[in-house]
Amino acid sequence: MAYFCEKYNNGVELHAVTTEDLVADHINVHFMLPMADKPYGAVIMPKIMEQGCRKYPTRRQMRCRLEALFASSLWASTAYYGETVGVTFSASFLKNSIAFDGCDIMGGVLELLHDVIFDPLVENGSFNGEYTKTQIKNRCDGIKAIINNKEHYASVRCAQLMCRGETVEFTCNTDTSVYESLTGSDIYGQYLRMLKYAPVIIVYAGNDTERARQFAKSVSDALGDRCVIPYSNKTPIVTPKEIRYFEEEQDIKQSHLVIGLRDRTHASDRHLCASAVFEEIFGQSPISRLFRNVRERMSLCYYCSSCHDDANGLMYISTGIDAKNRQKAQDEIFAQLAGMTEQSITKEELSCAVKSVKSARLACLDSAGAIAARCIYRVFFYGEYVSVEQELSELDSITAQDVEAVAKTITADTVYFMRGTEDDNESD
Amino acid sequence: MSQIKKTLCRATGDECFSVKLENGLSVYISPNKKRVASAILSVQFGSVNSNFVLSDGTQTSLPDGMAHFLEHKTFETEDGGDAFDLFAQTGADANAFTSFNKTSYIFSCVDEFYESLDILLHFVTHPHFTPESVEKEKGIIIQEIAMYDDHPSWQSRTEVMRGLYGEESPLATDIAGTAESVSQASDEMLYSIHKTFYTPENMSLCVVGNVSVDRVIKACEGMKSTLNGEIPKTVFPPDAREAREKYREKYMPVSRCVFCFGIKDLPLSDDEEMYRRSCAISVISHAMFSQSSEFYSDMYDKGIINNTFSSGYEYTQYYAMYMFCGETDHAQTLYEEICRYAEQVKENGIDKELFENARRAVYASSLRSFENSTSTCEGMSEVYENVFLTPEIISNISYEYAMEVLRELFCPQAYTLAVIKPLKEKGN
Repeated sequence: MAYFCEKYNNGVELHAVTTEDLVADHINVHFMLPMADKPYGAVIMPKIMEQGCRKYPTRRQMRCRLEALFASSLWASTAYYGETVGVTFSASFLKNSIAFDGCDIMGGVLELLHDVIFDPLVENGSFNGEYTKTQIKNRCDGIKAIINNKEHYASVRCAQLMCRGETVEFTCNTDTSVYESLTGSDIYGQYLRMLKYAPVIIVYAGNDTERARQFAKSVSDALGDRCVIPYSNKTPIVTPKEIRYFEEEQDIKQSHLVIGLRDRTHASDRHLCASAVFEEIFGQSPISRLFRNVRERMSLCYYCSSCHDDANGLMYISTGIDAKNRQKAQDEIFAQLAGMTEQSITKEELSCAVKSVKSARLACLDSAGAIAARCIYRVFFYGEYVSVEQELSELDSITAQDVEAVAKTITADTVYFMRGTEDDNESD
Repeated sequence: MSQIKKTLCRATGDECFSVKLENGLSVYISPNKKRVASAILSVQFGSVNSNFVLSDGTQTSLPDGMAHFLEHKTFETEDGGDAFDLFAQTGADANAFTSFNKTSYIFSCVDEFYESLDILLHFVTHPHFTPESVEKEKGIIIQEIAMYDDHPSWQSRTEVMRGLYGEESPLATDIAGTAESVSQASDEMLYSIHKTFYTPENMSLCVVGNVSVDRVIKACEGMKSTLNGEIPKTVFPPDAREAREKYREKYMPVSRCVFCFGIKDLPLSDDEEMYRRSCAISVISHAMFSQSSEFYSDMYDKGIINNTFSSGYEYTQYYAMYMFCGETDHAQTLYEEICRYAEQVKENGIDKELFENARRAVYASSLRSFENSTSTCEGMSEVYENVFLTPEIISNISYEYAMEVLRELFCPQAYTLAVIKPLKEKGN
């Protein structure tokens, strides 16, 4: 699997990973903006832009064009990398060889992607008013709907309480007024600033790298001369002084306990392989300590797992329990976390975890989208692409001490409990 | 064993080899060159099979949720450990799920496929339960049930099933059962169910990946039948096309209404014809309700739907239905608009060009199902070798046939609308 990188002098980079035997190709165009500026417009902007461009002004015309290109997908989204906001335009499309009528799928998709990014629907210095209004409403409705999924809602509440006042609070904002006050011209202004200042990282996974190169050049040409503001791939390290406890009530059957933790290492300094093995052993698999103990041994829950937000140095442990078991579950989770630093990792645990992480790394090579996602993470935080083969070899050298070292950087910060008041057996 | 049958997907070159072994197991294998290999072993025993007649004429009725309970406990191994430990040693990722009509055990891996296959075939056919371990599992499953009880989308679906099939129907009961029914589980009961249903004649194995057909078949030949007489016949009440109730609602802590609109269809006894019908419905559905449709654009622009809106068809030998889901503030309006639009299309037909575009899009999507081994394997576990014929079937669906199916499907007597409403609206 070959890889190459090309950098243009106006802040555009192309990272291309060659795939040979996949059904589809994938391309992402990432614009990187500083989170400290609170670019709320950048959250709405991609959603407006994917609705239509000058050539295909309606949502329906866009979708019909994509269907003609053998049901290709094109979408735009926002992602967070530490204190950087990535506005990403993505496309996924079948290889030309699959088209029974000689259709140039890739050519058509890249042209449309270019149009969406550089030729949006603009009226009098503002994005289309209807699209803007609809997308702001959708965003606000989406925020209000977080409560529909209680497990997710509990995690968001924990993140909000833990990161209050920090830059990364932006990532878990649920205040709809910051979006409701935006106008089409505010968001268009954000778009123009993005074109002028944002570094651009293009990631392509597929086998026609020459056309990806031509596309990257067209992006660079369209942007022209500009004053790029480099992005930061560092996240401030926060050391919690003490654990903070919060409790809220909901009229639901199951209670949810979420523990927010800090990983006191910059994402770019993290030993990624050791970190992945730590997660596997601690809380991300059916052989993890959380699963084996909180669920299997103590029968307290159906799910209990950890989720590492690598980019922001945060980790969440979540479980759905009967309210009366709150203390038991909390004590056991903390005991298991402490155990990870106490030279208790067995050879078998380590070997199984390494094997599982290696399998996951190799599995991503069957999907162009997964290859592209892996590539941007590596390029953003480490400045270079690391092949799966290199990573497999790093994984082979992981020791229990490396994993314990990861565990030692993790400290509990916030405990959030959403008490279900419909719970029949509620009593602490 | 029967002769090996080969089915070829002409568009992609993917092949499926199917065979019924001497022990009664049906095996479907699709070799490819991908890194990930997947296997799904399915037992034709799901939540609706809880009432059955044995070959000696004895009728048995199980408490609700026993298929799901057995799925959980099947992972326990003879030494008191669990199958996840064994899969961890081969680096495989394992899981299982129970649906209305079957219980499926899955793994995917990048290495040591045959070792993982042996683990799968062994643990599913060698049960080990103790009264203590069954008792402990109850706490876990009761939490799983509580989790789904709080899940509005799941609840809206359950309400639709109740409306379509009546509260007494096995289709209206939660697959996991209730806290009360689960409490009736015992080790003897699970052993008895296992012996009755977990026999190769009542199972199928689907495998996709870089595997040898001969080796997979050889690995399966060692499975022993436990069948005494014939596979029990499920007692399933015959049903008419009409929905039992037109409307159901429920109040939950949600921010806005969760909408679910079901249309009851009747499954056909001819599997091939049923699959052809479902492919025709996919094309119709795409033309009428996908993001490129006039209806979607109109409803989206009016703010009646957002990107949570989706629709699709599903069927088994016991039921068939088409379902619309999503979040909306205008559930009644959306329902009326769908009904109105369906009548209009029944009367005037679908524009032929739109039909052709939809067929092309659905054709391309069917090719995408071959993108990775796991998705291909999941498709095979539902419709076996038909997965490989899908692109051809879609290409051959005539406009006239699709219109005939459309007119049959949209039958107002077969409609049920279910709405999950915000608690704050209660009493209004």
